[in-house]
Amino acid sequence: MIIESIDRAGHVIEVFQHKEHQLSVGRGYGNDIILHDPHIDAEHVKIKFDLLQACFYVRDMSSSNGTQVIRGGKAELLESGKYIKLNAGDAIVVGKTRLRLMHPFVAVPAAVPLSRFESIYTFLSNWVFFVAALVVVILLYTFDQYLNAPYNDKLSKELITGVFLSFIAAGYGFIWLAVAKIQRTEIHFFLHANLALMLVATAFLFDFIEPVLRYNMEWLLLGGYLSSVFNAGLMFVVVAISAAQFNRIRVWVRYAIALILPAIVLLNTISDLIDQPEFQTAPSYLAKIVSPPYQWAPGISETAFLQEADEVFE
Amino acid sequence: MQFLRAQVVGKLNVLTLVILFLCFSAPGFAQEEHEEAQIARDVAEKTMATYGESIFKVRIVNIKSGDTSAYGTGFFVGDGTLLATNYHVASLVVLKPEDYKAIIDVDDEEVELRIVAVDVVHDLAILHLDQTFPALQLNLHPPSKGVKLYSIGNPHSLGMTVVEGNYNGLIEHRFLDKIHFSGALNSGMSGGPALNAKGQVVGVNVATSGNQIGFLVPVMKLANLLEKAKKVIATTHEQDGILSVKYPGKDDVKKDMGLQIGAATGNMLAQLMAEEWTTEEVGDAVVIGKMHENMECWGNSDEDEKKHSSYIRKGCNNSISIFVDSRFEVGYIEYESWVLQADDWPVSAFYRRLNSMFHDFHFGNRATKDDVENSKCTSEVVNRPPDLLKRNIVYCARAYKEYEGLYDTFYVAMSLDKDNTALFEHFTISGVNKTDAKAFLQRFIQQAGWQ
Repeated sequence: MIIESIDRAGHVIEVFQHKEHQLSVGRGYGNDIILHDPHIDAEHVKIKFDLLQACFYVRDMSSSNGTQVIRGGKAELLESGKYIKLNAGDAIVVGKTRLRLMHPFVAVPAAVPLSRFESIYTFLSNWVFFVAALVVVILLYTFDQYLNAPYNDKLSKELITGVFLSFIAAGYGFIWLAVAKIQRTEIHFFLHANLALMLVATAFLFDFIEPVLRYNMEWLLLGGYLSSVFNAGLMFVVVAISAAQFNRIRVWVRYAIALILPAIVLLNTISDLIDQPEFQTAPSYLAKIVSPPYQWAPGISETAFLQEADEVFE
Repeated sequence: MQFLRAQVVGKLNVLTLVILFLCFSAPGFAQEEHEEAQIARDVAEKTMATYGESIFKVRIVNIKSGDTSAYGTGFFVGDGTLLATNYHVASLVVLKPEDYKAIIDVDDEEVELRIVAVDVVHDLAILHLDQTFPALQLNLHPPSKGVKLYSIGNPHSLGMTVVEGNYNGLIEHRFLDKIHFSGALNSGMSGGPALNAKGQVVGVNVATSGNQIGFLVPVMKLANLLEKAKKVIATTHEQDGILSVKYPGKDDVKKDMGLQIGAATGNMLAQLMAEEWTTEEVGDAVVIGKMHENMECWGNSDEDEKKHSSYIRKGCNNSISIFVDSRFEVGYIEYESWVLQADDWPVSAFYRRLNSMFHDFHFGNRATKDDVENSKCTSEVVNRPPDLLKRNIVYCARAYKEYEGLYDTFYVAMSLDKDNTALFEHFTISGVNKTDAKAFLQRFIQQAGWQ
């Protein structure tokens, strides 16, 4: 006979196996299954298993809080002192503990295959990678600040901001650590922290590339919103990978979680699009400015530009 | 230069003016000076009695609230039914006649005037009413420099006041004529007359720069507008069996204003285009110099040793801003060039800085959503072969909502072909038609380059 201790969502917390076809459940040490739930009596309930009929008989031992059976999502109180027939797979509630009665030969679902990215996850779940990624992010940030002001003698102070990014990455890791605690799942803190660092690094790299795209492939910028779309996509990928580490979370829930942050970013962009000010005092235009080595797209002649200038009067 | 705003008080108080003038003449002068002062005082006293009844405070009253929204000074001219003032005094009535009306107080009674003609470019307006008042005479012959003038108006609601000053001729090198009057014009005197010793109108008070520097609209501009106004009041129509003046509607006046603005800007641009434009060497670049003697030019430079960068900046503008309403000014033409250099900077850092600076440019004139549409722009990389100059040029235009066919145009360009030197160019032309704007653009983009 197999008894599973389960949570409200039906996830297994602990499995009790008993070779006899009869067992007792209670807080007292004389029971076959001893539960440390203060709402359970010392001798709370007895369970019998009928192998021929493949069914269970449950008898509440006149406990203080009674025993309930869950049927159709609702709990019903069992009559005290009598054996009541239950089917394999039914769950009872004693005190605040849920127990599911299982046939010993119950078929378990097929093993979930390991992700094909498992080796990458393992590689990313490394503190050495975290240190390396952190160094890369700090260097990228400092280089970004250097390009903004090459002769800023306070550039070393910018390193502090770079270090601050490590706290954000660690914070992201801790959030998933908390989720894992709730889900009773084991995760690698560094995998998630490293994903956050990679997101920051990629966003920096995109900022470096964006002027090159703007100059050479204006059409790719989606009217200047490529940056928002790219960042939203990046967030989705990172959170989806983090959520994928939790097998107990249903797939659609994982994707829904992954969509929250990108949705906030995109909604902000969309609301900017919708709520554009009726009138803009400053002219709105695209700067096609990048250093000479990255100027690949050909320009137009002054004559062609004059013809194009006609359109602004329409 | 700021426009004058008049204040509250009715007819000219002759006695006040006489006392004021008596105070001006101090004892102890040399005999000759004393005699001149005596003559001036006599002339002033004599003419006061006449023009005192010709000059009024003009109030612009909000019809719904019944309160005064703006005020200035006006004086009767022509047949005595036409009152001249500044356009900027009466602009609310011109632009929103459904909300505002122009009033003068005659014997403690409010009398409404109607707009008959406007010269928005020279800031003049002529209004009409059905009563006749003594009209001031216009003197179309410019006085000699140094001649005494008496400007009359109502500064800061202190009552009708005479300000003595000198005629200093027309301001030099300006596209639009204005008289330099060395007298203390003040807010509230707008639209008042500046008279010579014979009591004849020489100019109309319009603006001040403080410190005894005032500006008058030459009387010739008023004379031209007066001819137009006379034709308007000669046009009558029958209403309820009564023959009355057919006043121009708001749309007619605005259409006329649009034509005036377009003609004024067109005229200025034609003068610019007629000149041989000079170029100047600035750093490694060749930039456009002073296009016309009427353009006012300036320049500055800075070398930041700490940041290892430097710039030289030059620009010119036409010093003109035609008032349409308090938040909309037109007729402004400006252009400028910057040469930036940062030899020690990494090329990527230099271009990143240029990228951020590229959006620091704006239209040079003020306008609101009620006046203009959002601007339409084009941004392209433009080459001048063979490898002479490569620029990102942005050209924008915003159409006027009320004045068909007129635009503000905006140009900004940045060179893309040097590693550590860049050339910025910018211009704004406001209140221009498409043809004039394009002709200017075509010529402008051919000027700058590298040495």
